[in-house]
Formats: sequence, C-alpha cells, structure tokens
Amino acid sequence: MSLEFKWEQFNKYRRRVYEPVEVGDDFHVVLNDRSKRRQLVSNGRVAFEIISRGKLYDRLLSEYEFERRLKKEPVTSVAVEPLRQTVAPKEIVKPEPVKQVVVADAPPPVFDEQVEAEQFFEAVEPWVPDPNDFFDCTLASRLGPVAIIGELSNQQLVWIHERDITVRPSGHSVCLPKGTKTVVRLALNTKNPRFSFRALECQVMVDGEQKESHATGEITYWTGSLGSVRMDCGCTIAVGTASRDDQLDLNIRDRVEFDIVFSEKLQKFVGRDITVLGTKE
Amino acid sequence: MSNIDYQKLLAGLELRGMSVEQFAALAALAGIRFCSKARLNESFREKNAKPLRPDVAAEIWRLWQEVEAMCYEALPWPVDLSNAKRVDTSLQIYRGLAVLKGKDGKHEVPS
Repeated sequence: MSLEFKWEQFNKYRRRVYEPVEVGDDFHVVLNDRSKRRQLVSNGRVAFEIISRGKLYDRLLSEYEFERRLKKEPVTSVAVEPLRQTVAPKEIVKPEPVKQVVVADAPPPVFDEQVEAEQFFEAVEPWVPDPNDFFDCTLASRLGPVAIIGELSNQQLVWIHERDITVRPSGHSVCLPKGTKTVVRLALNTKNPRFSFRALECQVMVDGEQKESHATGEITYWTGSLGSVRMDCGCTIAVGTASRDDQLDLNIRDRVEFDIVFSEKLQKFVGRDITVLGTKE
Repeated sequence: MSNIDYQKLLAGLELRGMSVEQFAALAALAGIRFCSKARLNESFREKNAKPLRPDVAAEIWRLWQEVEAMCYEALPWPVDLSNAKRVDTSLQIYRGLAVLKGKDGKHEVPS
C-alpha cells in the first residue's frame, strides 16, 4: 500500500474539530508527507494532523480565532441622537442568570426546557449587534486607499469603508490620526474573518468648531457642475461650482485646487471655488 | 400652457448622463403617464415643439428635481443614471431616507 493511498484513506475521515488533545508518550507519527509538509500523529484512538506554516495554516488559525472572538462578551453600547450629538455611554443590561433556590421541604427544581434551550443558543450563537445602536470606536489603522480599521472597547476590530463615514471633520475621513474617537453602527462581518464587524455608519467625534480650509487633489468624477475629488491626503470630497449654470469642463484625473466650506443645504463639507492646476495629458 | 423649461430639462439630462429613453422609462416606473420617449422628444424639439400636458410636465419636472437632489445627496459618490430601474430603486431608498431625516417632500437642489 503506497503512502499516498494511506493519506487518501485518512482524508475520508478528516474533520475540523476545535478541541484540546492531551498528547502523551503513546502518540507517534503514523504518516509523514514531506512534500506537503504535514504529519499525522496518533495513539491508536485519537489522531490529529500537524500542518506546517502556510496559507492553510493561516486560514485555519484565523477561522479558529474568529470563532473564539464571536463567543466573547458584547461591547459597551452607547445611545446617539442623529448627527453631531455628544454621546453618553451606557452599559448593556444583561439578564441575570437563573438562580436555583433550594428550600428544605420544597419539591425538587424543575428545569424549564425553553430556558435551557435559550441558554444553550445564547452560548453557541454569535452576538449580533443591533444595527440602530452606536458603539464607541477608536481608529486603529488605515487599510488601503478607502478603508480604515477601528477598535471597539473590547479590542475587537471593525472594518470601516470611507463611504460609510457620514460625519467628517473638515471633509477628511481616511487620513485621520490613530486614536481618533468615533461612534459606529455595526453589522457582523462575514467576508473577512480578520475583522469581527463592519461599520454600517461611522461618525467621527468632532471637538469644537471645524475649520474650513484649502486643498488640492485629483478629479475622480465630474458632471458639468459637480463631482468628487480625491485629495492629496487620500480622502474623497464632493466639489461643485457656485451654481448649476456655472459649468466647468473638467476631466477625470485633472488636478484642481479648491476651498473646503461647509454646505448648510447638503449638511456636509464640500469643495468650492475650483481652480484648475493641470489637465490630464 | 406648459410651465417648465424643456430645454433646461434636456440640458440637465445630458449633463448628468441620463438618456431621454431612460428618463421616459423612469417616469413610467414612477407612474407618470403620457410621457413616452417619443412624446418627450416631441416636447424637446426646438422647432414645432409639442409640450406635454401641464400636469404631466409638472410631475416630470418634480421627478427630475428629485433625481438631481439625490445626486447631490450622494456626493462625493457618483449615482449611475444610465439605467431607469436602478435609478428608480435608488429613488425609493432616497425617499425612505428623506422620511427618516424628516425631509419628506423637500427635494432641494443646491444652487
């Protein structure tokens, strides 16, 4: 019987189980595949596979960590009024565990199946955040040109897309420094196990009055009188002319210079007084 | 007598990248009758233009104002106006958001 055949036979019974195994002297390597850098270790009753560092190793490890993280306790919840309101944190009120009281002459306690089932599912199912609740979050790092990573109060990570940042200080979003305070609405992240949650909305906490400033950037979208610009810091901002009839002939990737002002009607920072610095070749 | 500027509407459609055909389809999806692509083209003609019924013209203008307001609201992210069905879905979401924000029926296009 060839070695390859034995591995095939083993593969039929291969299962992914996350549970500890006590390894004693009776364990020894029963199969060793050097080409795939894997070993099968067994004591005749229990077997497990040792995988060398690589893509599979990383994937399994991240899946395992993701499952462990989901079983952790939920984070601190905060209530937030619509845009630009200061938030006050409040603790999630957890139901008190069911206590058994033994009285001398009382009949033996009867276990409610429904309560048991609820407790079981609570322990097994991941905690799903309410999409309407806001949570405290601190910016941890930047991930690529359009996403940032935030950290919740329980150290779990949140993936935040630039598009979902609705309150931006002076129109900036992805270039904000590490440690910036924000509040986020959350959803479970099913796409990437590295980040437990993704933000449905993120509002940057702004201290004091926001400054209006001046910036340069590159046109990413333009339709006659309005469009968007990617600034040199990497943030995207809406730009427009003073009126719809005041049209500019701009193309994508044209370099422009503009003032950042707060638009009362749009309730966001926009670029005005556009000056063309250079056109696309 | 028509109460809207058809040339302004046509210029707006061209500016934002929406064809007359798709705008007519959007109007049909919004439940506005008597404004097919052919009928719109007749009203957009420079010579011998045949204007729409005043009530239809008003509804069409209101629909376009709503589309433009949605484009402004979505900034800095572009709204694709090349597909009437998609625009109609986006408009429904936009209307829902407007209700949540307490701005129902106030579709202001910034000057």
